[in-house]
Parts: sequence; C-alpha cells; structure tokens
Amino acid sequence: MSMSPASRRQLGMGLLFLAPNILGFLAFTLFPLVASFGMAFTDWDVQRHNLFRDDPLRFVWFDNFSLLFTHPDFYHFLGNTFFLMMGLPAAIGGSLVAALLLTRAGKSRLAMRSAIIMATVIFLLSSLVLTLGGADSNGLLFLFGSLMATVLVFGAWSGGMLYRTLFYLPHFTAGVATFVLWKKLYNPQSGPINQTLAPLLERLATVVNGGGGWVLGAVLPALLLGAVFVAVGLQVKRLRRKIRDGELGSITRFAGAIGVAVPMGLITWWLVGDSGLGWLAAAIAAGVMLATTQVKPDPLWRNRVRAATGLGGEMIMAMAVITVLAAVGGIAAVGVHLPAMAADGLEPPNWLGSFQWSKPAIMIMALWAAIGSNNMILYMAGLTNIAPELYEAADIDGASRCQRFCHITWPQLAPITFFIAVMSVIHGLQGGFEMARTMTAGGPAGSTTTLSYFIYIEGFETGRLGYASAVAWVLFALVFTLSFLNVKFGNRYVND
Amino acid sequence: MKRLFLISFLVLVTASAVTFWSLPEQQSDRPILYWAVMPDPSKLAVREAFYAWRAELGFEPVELRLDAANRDLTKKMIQGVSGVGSDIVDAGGLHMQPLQNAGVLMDVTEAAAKYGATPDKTYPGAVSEMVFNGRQYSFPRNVVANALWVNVDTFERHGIEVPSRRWTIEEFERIGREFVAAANPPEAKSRVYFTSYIPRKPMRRSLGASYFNETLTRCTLDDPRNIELLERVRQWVVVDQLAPSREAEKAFEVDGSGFRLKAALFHRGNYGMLYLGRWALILLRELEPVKLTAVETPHGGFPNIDINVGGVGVYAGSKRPDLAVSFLGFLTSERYNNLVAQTGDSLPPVPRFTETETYLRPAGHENEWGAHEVFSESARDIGIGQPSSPYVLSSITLRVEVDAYDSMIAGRLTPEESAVEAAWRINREIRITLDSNPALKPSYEEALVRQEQIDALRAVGKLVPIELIDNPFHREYYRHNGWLAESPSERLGDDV
Amino acid sequence: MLTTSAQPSERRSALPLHLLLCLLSMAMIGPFVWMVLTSFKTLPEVAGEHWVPHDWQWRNYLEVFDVIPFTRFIWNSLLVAAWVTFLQVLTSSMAAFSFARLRWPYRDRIFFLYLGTMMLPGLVMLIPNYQLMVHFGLVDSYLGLVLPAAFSAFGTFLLRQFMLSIPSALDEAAAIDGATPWQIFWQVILPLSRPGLLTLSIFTFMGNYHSFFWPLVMIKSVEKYTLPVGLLHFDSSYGQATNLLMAAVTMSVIPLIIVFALLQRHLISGIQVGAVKG
Repeated sequence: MSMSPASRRQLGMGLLFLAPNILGFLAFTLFPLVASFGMAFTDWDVQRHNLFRDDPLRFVWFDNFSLLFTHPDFYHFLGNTFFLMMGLPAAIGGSLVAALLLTRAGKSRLAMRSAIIMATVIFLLSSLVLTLGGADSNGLLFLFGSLMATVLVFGAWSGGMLYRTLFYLPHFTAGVATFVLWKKLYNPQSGPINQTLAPLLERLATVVNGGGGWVLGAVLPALLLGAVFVAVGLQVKRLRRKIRDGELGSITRFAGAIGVAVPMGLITWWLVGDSGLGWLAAAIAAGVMLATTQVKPDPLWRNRVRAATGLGGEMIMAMAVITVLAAVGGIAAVGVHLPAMAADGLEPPNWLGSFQWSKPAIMIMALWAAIGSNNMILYMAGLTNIAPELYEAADIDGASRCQRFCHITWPQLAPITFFIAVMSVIHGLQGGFEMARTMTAGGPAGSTTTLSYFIYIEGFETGRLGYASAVAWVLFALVFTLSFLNVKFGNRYVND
Repeated sequence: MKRLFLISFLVLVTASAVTFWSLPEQQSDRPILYWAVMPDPSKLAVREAFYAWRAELGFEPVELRLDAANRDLTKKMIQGVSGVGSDIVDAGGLHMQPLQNAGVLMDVTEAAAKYGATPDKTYPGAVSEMVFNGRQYSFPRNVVANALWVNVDTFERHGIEVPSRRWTIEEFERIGREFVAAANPPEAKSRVYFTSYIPRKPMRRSLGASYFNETLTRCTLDDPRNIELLERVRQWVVVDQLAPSREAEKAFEVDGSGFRLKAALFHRGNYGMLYLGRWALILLRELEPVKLTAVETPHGGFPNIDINVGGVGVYAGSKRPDLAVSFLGFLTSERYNNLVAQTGDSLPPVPRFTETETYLRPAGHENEWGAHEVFSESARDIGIGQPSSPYVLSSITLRVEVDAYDSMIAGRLTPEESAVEAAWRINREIRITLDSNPALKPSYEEALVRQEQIDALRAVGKLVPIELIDNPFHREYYRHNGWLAESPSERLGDDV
Repeated sequence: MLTTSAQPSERRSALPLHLLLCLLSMAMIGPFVWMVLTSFKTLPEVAGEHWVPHDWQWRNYLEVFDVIPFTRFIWNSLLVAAWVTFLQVLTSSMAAFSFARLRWPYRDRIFFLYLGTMMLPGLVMLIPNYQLMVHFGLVDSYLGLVLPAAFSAFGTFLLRQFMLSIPSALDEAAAIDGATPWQIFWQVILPLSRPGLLTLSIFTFMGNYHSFFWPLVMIKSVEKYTLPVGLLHFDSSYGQATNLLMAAVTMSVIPLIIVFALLQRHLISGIQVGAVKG
C-alpha cells in the first residue's frame, strides 16, 4: 500500500498521540476480546477446561448460536432489554432539562430576602401541619418542609452550586449502594414508597368507589385519548408541511411516519382488544397513518432533497412522540380499569416482587438515576461551550425562547447528544446485569432478566463460557448495528 | 495545564509510596492459609478456636486470613480455576456441585480420615453433599435443618392446640384453617398467617416424588403426586391464605435482611410458624423472649425434612494442603461444635454434640428448651439433602422449579402446566449438558439401563437392590417402605 | 433559555426557578435522606415504618470503625480511583486529540473500531482478563486494580466529542504561527477542553470508586480492600447490619460531595471565545 510521505508522517503523528491509550487498551482488552470471539465457537466450559481438568476443547461451530435462538426465554429476555430501554428518551430529556435549569440558576441570582421569606413560609406551614396532625404521620412532611426551607436559603446564597450538587447526589451512591437502597425503598411492607402510597391509594379508592369512578373511568380516558388523537393529528400536519417544504428526505419521511403509526396502532389494538381482530385493526390504523404522511415534496425540492435529510431530528422526534403517547395512553388505560380495581380496595403494587410491576419499578429507579447523572454533567459542560454571541445575535433578531432552543442550543449540543445517545444505547443493551444481580435475581419468573444478566447466569452459573460468549457476541452485533445506524445518521446530523 | 498534571502525578506517587510503606508485613513467620468467606464477626471466633485447637494438639501455629467474599459463587470459581483460590474453600449449599465439577476441590478422602473428619461422623443426610463417586471432597461446618418454629404464645392466644412434632399434611390443612379462622376476625387490621412459608419440597418428597428419578437421569417434577401437591399448595396460599402469597414473600428474599423481617413478624404474631433453621435463634434472641417450640414439616407418608449443608473443602491448588485439611479435622472437635451450639448458629456438624446440655438446654434461654432436639434429631433421623444430579446443576434445578411455582401462584399457569413446564425445562438442561459434555454419556447410558431394571422390579412388586439406586432420597424412601432387597433397618450412610 | 446578562426584570423571575429546583432536588435526594436517617436507627427500627428514628444512634458512626478498618478502605479506594483517573485523562486526551484534530489516513475507521470494542459485554472478557492478570502476577496488588481500568475507549470518545466542538480556527491560527501538534495539544486544545476534562475526571473517578466486582476477585489481603468490598462486612449470612452499612456509605460519600461542590463551578465557567471574531 503506497502512501505519500506526507500521509505517512501524518499517520505516524496520529498514531503517536494515540499510542499510550491504545497500547494499554490492546494489552488489557484486545486479547480477552479476541479470545472470547474464538471461544464462542467452542464448548469452553469453566468446569471442564481449567487448571485441574484437562478435557479437550472442542469446536462446535454454530451450535452455541442455534442453542441460543431456540432457548425458550431468549425472546422474553430480548424483549425485557428493549422494554427497559424505552425510558431512554425520558432519561436523556430529563438530564437535558436538569442541565438547562441548573445552568440558568447559575446565571441568575435570587435575592436573599425573597429566599428567606419563602423559606420561612414553608417552614411555618410544615410546622403547622405537624402540630395539627401529630408527630407520627406528619413527621416526614415536617422533615421535608424544613429541608426545602434550608435548601432554598442555601441555594439562593450559593448560586447554582447547591442545586448542582444536590442533583448529582444520586450518582455519589452509584452502583451497588443505589440498588440496595432502592430495594429497601421498594419493599412492599416496610419501604417508604409503599408506606406513602398506601394511604393515598386508600383515599383514592374511596373516592372512586364513592362515585368518582365514572369520572376517572370514562371521562378521563376519553379526554386523554382525545388528546392523543389531536397530538397525532398535529404531528401528521407538521410532517406533511416539512416534507412539502423539502426539509425531510424520503427515509426521514418513513421514520417520522413510524412515530405516528406505532402509537395509533397500539391504541387501536388496545381499544379493539387483544385478539386477531385487534391486531388487524391495529395494522390497518398503522397503515393509514403511514399513508397520510406520504406527500410529495414541492417540485422545487424534489431532486435536491437527500434521502436522509433531517433523519436524526425526526428519529428523536418519533421516539419522543411514541414515548409520550404511549405514556398518555397507558394512563388512560389505567383510568379505565380503575373502578374495577378500586372495588377490591387499592393497594400499592408489590414492585419488585410482581411480574407486571418489576420492570416499571426498575425504569423509575433508572429515571431517577439518569436525571442527576453523568449525562446532566455532560450537558452542563456542553452548554458552557456555546458562544454567547450566538444568543446575542438571536436576541437581536427577536427570537423566542423556543426558537432559541431549537435553533441554537439543541444543534450546538449535537456532539454531546450524539455521544450520550450512543453510550446510552450501548449501556442500555448491555445493562441490567448489576441491577438484576443485586435487586431481583432476574425478577419474578425472569421478568427483569436482561440479555446481559442472561449471559451472567449462563456463563457463571453453569460455567459454559463458550455459550455465554456466543450470546455476548450476538448482543454485540445488536449494539453494533444500532450504534452504526446512530453514527451514520447522527454523525451527518452533527455535521449538518 | 502541564503543571496541573505534573503536580497531580507527584501527589499520586507520594500517596502510593505512603501506602506501600504503611502496608503491614506481608510475610509471616507462620504459614498462611486463606479462607474466602463472608466476613461476619462469628468467623473471628471460629478462627480463634482453630488456633486454640491446633495449639492444644501440638500442631505448628498457622495464620488464617479471612478474605471477604459475598454470597456469590463467582469469586470462588474465578479464583479457583485460575490457580489463586483460597486454601480453605467454603463450598456450601449450591456452590458445592459446580466447584467439585470444576475440580477446584481436592479429594480429601484419605487426608481427612487422618484427622477423623470422615462422612460417618456427620449426619447421614449430609453425605450426599460431601461424597461424589465414592470420594470425599468436603466436611460440613454447619448443617441447617429446616423445620417449623412455633410461637406457642401466638397459638395459645388464639386457642389453637400446638401441632405434635410429627404430623401429617391433612393435619396441617385442618389446623391451619382453624388457626387462620380464629386469628383473623373480620375487624383485624393486619393479616395473621399460619406459617411464613409452605415447605413444599419436603412435602413433595413425603408423598414419594422428588426432583429426579432413582438414577438421576430424568426430572420427575411432572409426577401426578407433585401436581396434586401443587394444587393443594395453591389452595392453601391463594384461597385459605395460610401463608403469605409468593409475591408478598418475594419482598423477603435475595438479600439476607429479609430473614430478620420474617423473624420479627413471627415474633410479633403475624406468623404462627416460621420455616427456618435453628439459626433463627440468632435473630430471635435479639427480641423479647417468647415461648418457642418446633415441629417437623408435615408429611404425606414418608416423614423427612430438608437440610442444607454448609460444607468446607480444600483447594486443589493449595500450597499447604496438609495444613488446610487440618481445618476439616477442627470441624469435628468439641471446641468448634460447642461454639456452634452456643451461638445458636444452625446445627453443629457432629451430631454427637447435640446431645449435650450446652446444646439442648442453653442457659438463659429457657423459652427455647424443647425446640433444639427437634432440629438435631430430625436432621439425624430424617434429614435429606438438596436434590442433585450429575447431569444438571442443582442451582438451575431449583431456580426453574421456583420460577414455575411463581408463575402458578401468580395465576399465569395452572398447577399442572407449572409442573410440566418445570420438568420439561430441567430435562432440556439435562439434554444440553449431555450434548456439550460427551464424557458423561457412558455413565448416563449405564444409568438408563439401571433405571429400566428398577422400573421392571417395581412393576412386579419385587425388592430392589440398593446398588441400582443413586438418588439418596429414593434410598431412604425405599428403605422406609421396605422395598430394598436387603432391608436394612438403620439409616443408610451413603458411602456406596 | 440562557441569557447573557441578568436584566433587572430577570431577578423577579428567579424565585419560580429556585422553587422548582428546590422541589426537584427533594425528589432527587429523597432516597439519600432515607439513607442518612437509617444510619441513625437501631436495627429493629430499620424495618419499621417511620423515616425518622426515635432514638438517634450517633454511635453507629463510631461502630463502623470498630467493625472494619474504614479509613484504610477509603484510602485504598481513593488512591486507586485517583490513579485510574489520572492515567485515563492523560492517555484519553492524547488519543482524543489524535482523533479529533489530527488528520491521518484511516482515522475515522479506526475510531469506529475503537468504539466497537466498548460494545462487547465485559462479562465474557472477565475470565480471560483475570487469567492474564494471574499470568502477569498482578493478583492481590494495587497495580492489578489500576492498570485494566486506566485505558479506555470511553474517555477517548468523550473527549473527542468535546474537542470537536472547539472552533478549529484557533489551532489553525496556532499552526500558522508554527506550533507543533504537541504544542497545539498542550497550549491550545487542552486548556479549552477543561469542562470536558473535568467531566471525564468526575465520571472516571466515580465509576472506579464504586467498582465492586473487579476488586472482589482481584484482592485477597484485607489491607488492600477497596470500600465496596469492605462493606461486605456489614452483610452477613443472617441479615445486613443495614444501619451500620448506611452510616458507612454516608461517610464514604461525604468527601466526594465536598470535592464535587468545590470543583463544580469549573464545569460551567465557559471558554473565553473573545479571541474569535465573526
């Protein structure tokens, strides 16, 4: 391979800077990586191939892989992994919002006077509740009231520092401590979550049974569903406009359409019922939605719009739409079932011990951990890199807050968002192992077993590391594909 | 910037120097043994007793270092197969089989005999977890006999007679229903349960079915007797509410703190009975004394109780195996056994020491007198160890059964489906194990032949020679029913 | 959403913002509050129903030091985490510079490959890695804790993204002035990447401080335990001494919080881009 002397010099320089990192990495990661790839095609079993046992290692070629795909629970675990990742857009969005709020707090100061006044008000209120209600049940309220008051005052004094520290607090107990903590929090009898929820749910049950049922059971779901239809309609309108204006390419069109097709399909399926007819109706609804977004761009743009224009943005939009609409739909669903459930009395769920609630419980914990997490810090660091001149220019042009965000902040944060998105996908698909091991041992009947915990069980419990390696490489292929898509379209979005 | 890095580097180097300088002397004039075990304070007392025992017998002093390990097998396995395992290996319960399979445990048949730590010294039911293919690999450091603690005060308060020590499943059902009826008047605030847990494993065995067949070649959980038992258990849990539902119970599992909670509830009177070993005393002695007694698990024809063996083995790659084996001898000593008896920590490994005053009538705990012999005598007379087959790991077997049971209690599967599902999965595991480890095939084939012989003999009602049977449960069961060819009247201590 | 200067009218609107932040932080620190409160309880109270202990057991904090050599464990954790952070930041920033600023053939392809190595679940590499450690004789040593964690693709990826957002006009100007890449690296890019470097330091430090599994299998001597392994002493076969455990965790976290609180303003002190016009 011939290279010009200049290129060779550049290559040398590039590698020189790369050297310390990559040499260390090669020593400690490459060898095990390659070894595990090789092992995926063998029957390597820690119990049979080690210092003390000298069974011969056999090549089994693709047996490990076929064993995996015929495992009765493989698709269940795959589904678990993807389900748990549904919280990702919320998590990323949450950390962005947190970073924005915190940066803003750092720039504007609250006068000490107003802070102290407010704090005293809060403190007095909570003391009032305490004296009226009695120590036991309201001790907690008083505690938080006083905490809020203190935080408010100290927060005003310190600028953003206190809030930034408080928001990042979850991360200080990261890892096993967080899981142990949340396990205790989720304890159905003695955990604070259920102890707070129980009286609330009891009151809710009496309300529902006492006649509020029809409001919650019929009106609320109807309103929510109506809101869903309206939102979908708006999104379709927006997509059509953008396509006509040549802002979205053909692939993007499709991605955006998925963002509306999926929620409509889900909701139709839910309304019609879990049956063959339900699936058919859902497919029809999805198809209809897909069709409505297929308009032609104006002749002006037809040949100039690349297929993947705006794909990054639309993919994110689609994910956000799906998540939000699914959540709203979920609430509506709960509302419909509420009267029936309330008839027996409402109890807080047995979070980690329940097949249905174990994954949502994990997702709530993950959301909490994600908001005050590394991503928030990344966004904060990224926000400071945005040149103030850009905002000044926008102010001169009279841009609204929303426009400022969409056209300056968000695009400037693109490299960071890209990083976070890729890392989140990687961690999301690989994650859940430590959590499952500490909190749920894979959950009631495997409901919180993700693929990485599956690798752990198969590899370390049975010792069949060859098989575990095969599973790991399948997971790798999945992560690689998703990251590749991310990079391909995200990178272009970053460099747009 | 450069300065910052330089300063940090210097600080780090200094700190490291200080650290190394402050490390205590690694060498010791005495030989060093490592023991990887959970580092609770009681282990320190054990270590002191070990030193004292060695001194008494005139052996050279050693230094025993306790290396913190968690409840997991992983550390022992990884270190073991890589050649850096600890000399004394805690191979209790479900860890025994994988460690022994991997060859991490040394064959101590002759060495342990020199110190008197032979299988006949301990409970007959524990031998199946010590001896494999006629060779001994461990000695127990404690044995947990799981029986039902009875809170006599609670029973008296509700006017229910305490069950007799050996009772049948029918009596269990009858007394249980009486108990919950008496203890749960309509206005009761919190639910009172008859027992903390329904011990289906020993009950299943008492009906004549267990996890595997006589030659351990096939999982027999789909036996009709098991299905019938599961239906009854479902009735007891879901309808009669004799025990907390599986979902409520999940809250108590996985981490050790759940036991303390269970003990507290038992003490308070929320449970009439507590299914736990003698080590419940460690938790109960923290609370106010209540009148206690114990009963065996109810039986359906073949009385038996479930025992767990906390075995200790010697690392196959140990540098000083001779010294490590002496630890096994220590476990048979009076000093050690009395220590276990005094701390209320499950059963001392040598049954002889459960006939002492120290064990039976501990001073200061009169409320417990009468309960201790239930544990030791039932362990000795009717204790049976964990199900184990050379063709599938016990950890997988137990996990599959528990998952299937979970699904049944949650209503996702019927009892029959649950039993069939469990058996199918375990048999699938057996197939996979055989496929991936061809070395096992010959013994499997041979076992199948023997199984056919057994089935043929049983079909015509003839007696079966004991050599045909591998399963320790079946040996006892056949002996009990008089189906064995030589019909020994004494318990079989399993060295065959 | 960001303003360049606080107009007088902005000051009035700071109260809603602060109130919102205050409420949100209550949610964030809720579990933490529970943890601290639990550290003051007696063991039976831990399973009880009230958040606030009836009898504040201050001596729990002292008891922690009786059960384990707590200071030693924290020291070990801090030392190891500090070394890992130092090495990672140093090597990753150089590698990131190479990927973000230097132009060389196959650069992007190699970057993607590098990235790809992060995608394999680490579990299956555990045993080969461990046996490599045994081979090098690094078991039960500090070096064995530091070296495997010190070189990572994650840091490189992160810093590359930060460096990408630095306007290239700056280093082009320096190059025109005759600066070598090494000089550009130290004098132009690194100082401008301060938020990124700080971010990576925080991430790496935290991540390593909490790492449990690797120290568990690597270390055998009690003097070398890091804190997460040391905390096992509060977990016994019969049940956790939860109150002591929470006291230990609280104590272990306080130095981190203080350091973070002191350093965090560097995260938001932006780069001075007055040098670039237009």
